[in-house]
Amino acid sequence: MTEGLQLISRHINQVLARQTRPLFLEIDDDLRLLGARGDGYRYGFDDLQPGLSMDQKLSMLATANPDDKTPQAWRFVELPGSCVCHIHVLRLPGGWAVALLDASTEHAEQQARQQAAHDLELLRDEREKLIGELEQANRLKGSFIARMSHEFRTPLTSVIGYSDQLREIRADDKEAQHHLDAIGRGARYLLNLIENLLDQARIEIDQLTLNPSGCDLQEMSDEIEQLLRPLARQKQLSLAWWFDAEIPPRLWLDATRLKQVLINLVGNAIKFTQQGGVSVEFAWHRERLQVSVSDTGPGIAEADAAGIFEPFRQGSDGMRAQGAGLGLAISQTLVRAMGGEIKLNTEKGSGSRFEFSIKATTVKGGGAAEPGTLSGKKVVVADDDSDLLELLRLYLTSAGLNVVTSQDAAGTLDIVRRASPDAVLLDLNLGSDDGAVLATHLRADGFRKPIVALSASTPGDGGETIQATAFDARWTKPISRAQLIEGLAGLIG
Amino acid sequence: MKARKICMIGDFAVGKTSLVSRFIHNAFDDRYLTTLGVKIDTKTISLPSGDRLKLVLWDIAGKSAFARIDTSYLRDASGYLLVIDGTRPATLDNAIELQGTVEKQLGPTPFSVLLNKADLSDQWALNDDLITGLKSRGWSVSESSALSGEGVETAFTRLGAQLVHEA
Repeated sequence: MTEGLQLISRHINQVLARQTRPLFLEIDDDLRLLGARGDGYRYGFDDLQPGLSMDQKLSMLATANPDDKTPQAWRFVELPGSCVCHIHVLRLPGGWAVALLDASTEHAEQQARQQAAHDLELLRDEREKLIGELEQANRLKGSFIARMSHEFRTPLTSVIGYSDQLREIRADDKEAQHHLDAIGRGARYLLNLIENLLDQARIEIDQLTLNPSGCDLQEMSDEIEQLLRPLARQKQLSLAWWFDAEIPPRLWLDATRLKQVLINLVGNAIKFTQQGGVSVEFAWHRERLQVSVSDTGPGIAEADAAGIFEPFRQGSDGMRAQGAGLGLAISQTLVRAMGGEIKLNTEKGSGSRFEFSIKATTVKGGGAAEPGTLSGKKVVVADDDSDLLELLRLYLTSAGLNVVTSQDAAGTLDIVRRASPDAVLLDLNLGSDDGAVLATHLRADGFRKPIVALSASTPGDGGETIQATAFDARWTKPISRAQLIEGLAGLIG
Repeated sequence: MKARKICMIGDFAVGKTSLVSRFIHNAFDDRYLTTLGVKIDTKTISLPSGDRLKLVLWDIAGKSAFARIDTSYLRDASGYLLVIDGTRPATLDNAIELQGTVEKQLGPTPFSVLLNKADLSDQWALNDDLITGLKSRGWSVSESSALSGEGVETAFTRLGAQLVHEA
């Protein structure tokens, strides 16, 4: 070795020795110290005298295989009372030679990095676990909404439908008409409130979906007027509807959602207006339906107007004190889903104007077929709720249709095979049977005429496995007589 | 006095160091401090036979995406405790994989499975099927809690007795 190499070799040995503070030990087979060189204190030895028992400190040698001559090396070993060290062991005849090298600095650095990585991994695990729990809770919520939706709508359909029937039967009894109007208003109010609550839940679990169909704005406004006119009349308010001449006779949009928004906006306007009136305007511009609802009410203070579309918000002076405080929030979400945004123009003391525009397309070919064309047509109706089944039968027979009813899947399949109807109306939730599965069976059985899904849940509730290919249409309960007849006329008239 | 080397094997943060700390010092610290490398400690136990046995415990850094098990620590081990965190099902899958790694290194070696953190019953994520699956492999499985001490002493002592019996 040259002198230079000797110099650098000695220098590096000195550097490494300063960094690792080595302790060299020679130990016999009984684990007694024979000799030591180096810094013992660093490794927890107070006095390295020959004969000292290393049994505790170097316990790993007590279990080492004495016949194994392979040199051993362990990194980052924590011994009791010692700094963290790397340990090298050589087997000698009758004992061991051991080197302890201080690795505490390196250990601290690597441990800090490992700690951070493990903490992060644990947090990730925790997050995934929470996400899983939330997803499970969301699924349960979705199924709850679907169940509740069905549970609420089914009896309300009966209440509304039968009170309408009674109104026709007792057309000459003014007192009965008055009572029936009150029942109908209450039921429709309840239905709207339930729709809002269910929609809020759907929004929270991201299950709000649109279900567009052909819509006649004039008919829709008549229905809303029928619902809200009594309240306006009670407060001696005018309720006016204005239609731009450019509006197509039928538009393709989600009529149920638009109606819900209008009921919320017009209902609110009537509720908070004490004198004057409410007017609703429809205009048509570049394939968009523009809607505005204006009132001559007290207007809304700037501070309240800023957060008026937030759910469960109540105004500082009692605004929106009635109801669940959801109507405007849901209306905004629905309008956004339909491609628009509700804007509010208001000033304290000078009324309010809510306006929005939504995407819509023109339905070609004019309106639906005339209901009169249904006379003599044969329809099979399946619903597990006997009250609703009877109501649907009444509606349909009043339009001259021949109706056969069934309350389960097997019976329906049998009736359709024998009766060869012009259309089949299927409740999606046929008790223990699935209406969608039945529809698929009917198609597989060769039935090619229209099949309509009747559902007490709205699309997106997740409670039904509707197979769109088997159905020609899907109608949501409660369905009015007019909607039912017009819908059927469109399919088989 | 006889001495036997026992290794603590399992994923990171399953509670290996806490189990050793409970067994040796009868102490518990709920802060998680990762082990890098290995911690070696000893405890002498009395066996049911009346014999005394020195257990040399190698608490080996757990497996994670960041760190693999250093198999040099396994050398000359007489047995091992395979530790699973009962609140993290993934640590069970990894334990099965680790058992394969250890057996490849050591050959057939006595071991016991500890389902740790039994005190966290509200977060427990191992169902009966998973536990039955472990037992159907012929593995000895028991629950433990380093926090309460449940099942800790028994696990070490039982494995120690098994090591002496099989030696």
